[in-house]
Amino acid sequence: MPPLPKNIVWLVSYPKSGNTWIRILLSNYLSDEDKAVDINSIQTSGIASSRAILEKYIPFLSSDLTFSEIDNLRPEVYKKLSEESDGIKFIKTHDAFTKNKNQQDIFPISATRAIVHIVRNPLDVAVSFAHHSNIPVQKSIERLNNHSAKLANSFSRLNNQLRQKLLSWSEHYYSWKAVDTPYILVRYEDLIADTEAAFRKIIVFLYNDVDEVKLKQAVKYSSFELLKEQEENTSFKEKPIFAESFFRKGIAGSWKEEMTLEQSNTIISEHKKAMIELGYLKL
Amino acid sequence: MKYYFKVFGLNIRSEFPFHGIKKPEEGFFDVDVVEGATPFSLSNSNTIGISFESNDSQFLLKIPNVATFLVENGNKIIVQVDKQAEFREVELFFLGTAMSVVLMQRGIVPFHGSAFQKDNKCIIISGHSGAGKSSLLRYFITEGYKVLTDDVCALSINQNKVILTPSYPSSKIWEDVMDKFDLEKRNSEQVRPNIRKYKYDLSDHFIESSLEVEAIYILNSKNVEAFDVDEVKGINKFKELQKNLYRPRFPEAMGRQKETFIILNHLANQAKVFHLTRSSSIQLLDKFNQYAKQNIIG
Repeated sequence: MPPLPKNIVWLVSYPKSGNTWIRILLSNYLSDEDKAVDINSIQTSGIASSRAILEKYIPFLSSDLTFSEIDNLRPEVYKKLSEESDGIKFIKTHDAFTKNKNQQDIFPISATRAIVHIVRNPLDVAVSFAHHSNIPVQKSIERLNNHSAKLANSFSRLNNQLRQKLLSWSEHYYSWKAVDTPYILVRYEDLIADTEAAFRKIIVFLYNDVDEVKLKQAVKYSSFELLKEQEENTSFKEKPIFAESFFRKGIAGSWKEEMTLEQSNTIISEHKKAMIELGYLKL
Repeated sequence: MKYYFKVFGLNIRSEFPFHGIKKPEEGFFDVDVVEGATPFSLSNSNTIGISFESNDSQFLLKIPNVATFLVENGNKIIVQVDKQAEFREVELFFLGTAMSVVLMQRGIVPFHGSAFQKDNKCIIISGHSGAGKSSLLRYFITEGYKVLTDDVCALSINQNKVILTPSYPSSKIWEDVMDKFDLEKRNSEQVRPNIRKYKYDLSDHFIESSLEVEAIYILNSKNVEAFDVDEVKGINKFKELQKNLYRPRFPEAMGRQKETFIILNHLANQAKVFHLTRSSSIQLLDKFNQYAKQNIIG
């Protein structure tokens, strides 16, 4: 049997780390038009945890399956998706890189062309995640530090999203970093400091080439101010109903105003190693 | 021991006492359900999918940890039950996917949705899993409407009209909806031991007659505090119907594209199709239900 085509590029991040921004930048880069892509029609191929993707391939209803049965099917679904794609599929995910009960990688290497891994200072993630989920910062910190954190984990109701294992913030980071496949690490902070330079690196990594005109256009049409303006004018479908806005501040370091010293220390002590490695903490 | 009952308008003779409409024992049946060994693989499959294989007359369905069903010619199902499976789990997949395969093999289109009677026709509430179909259906039941089916709509053409044949008098309801409508969980059983979705008897609210389809409402939810209803027109009607088949890949997997096209095309001409959008906020559910009733019933 010929090997599977490796058509999937996973856009990987812990929640609230700039994944949507990368998707908008890519959409604008790939767009043929000289105007900003509508934030509600981002041209990437959805989120890996979308129940709809799974439902497309399986012969029964996913709502009749347990979380672990679904995890056992997910590698097969992504292989099919890659097999049936006629080109690169950019698929977002917040899942950590884990194995299912059959000891298979949920994100199969055989379908993976590359990984674009976006990380952000966990201190800012905690604050942003709190606003996004409409929960106190303390709760958000507990989630970042929780080794068995999950998303869409309700047993009593059916969620549009599949259950996702997040693990703790550090474990999430290390789980993807260790995957043996073409990989690029992007820091949210570098994207903010020089969007064009950071995004150019991603494009060169993906295509070995860059269209400078499209690149400049993509950066222009994906500016935080423009995205916020679009959200104010049309609202953004990915914003949770009780969050004030999806595109909130778009800056680095706002945790200093929204977190106590004790709270920041809780995060630092739990994630020290990864934070030093990523330049978020000086020794 | 053989059990005789009726589901989706078909007379079933079964070695398993599955839930259906009980009918007196008689010699005639449309589908024979037997327990037996199923093959690991089909020798001549033309589609190999995830957890299934198929050709024009056979469909091998593998439900992990529950059972394997070999469905043949729309009139026979061989069931090989996994050792650890409970009866209710086998029943769940028999009534859902295995019977949908039987329907498709017989040229009847399994459409994803719940349906209730309105005057002498019926309304289908469609939409992806999690869109809120069962919750809205439950609201119409409390308003006194009779149900034809929950989850799978069997569509065929009769006297030049697309009709829906009732399935069986039971529905599956998630715990949050049970709580919302104050339904007694004590008398209901979970569909599977680890899934908090309950089997709920609909005998008192069920209608056994096939009815013409008047309209299809495709339900979805958005993260906004507003509702919306929007009629789908032109070629998009057909496309939306196709997207909301019980399993959109079934027609091709079973070589039934032509029959499916004819029925869906007929349905697109006969019935109105709407997108009905609810708010994802559970607090707004009551208001949404009233909004839906106003739009669907008038």
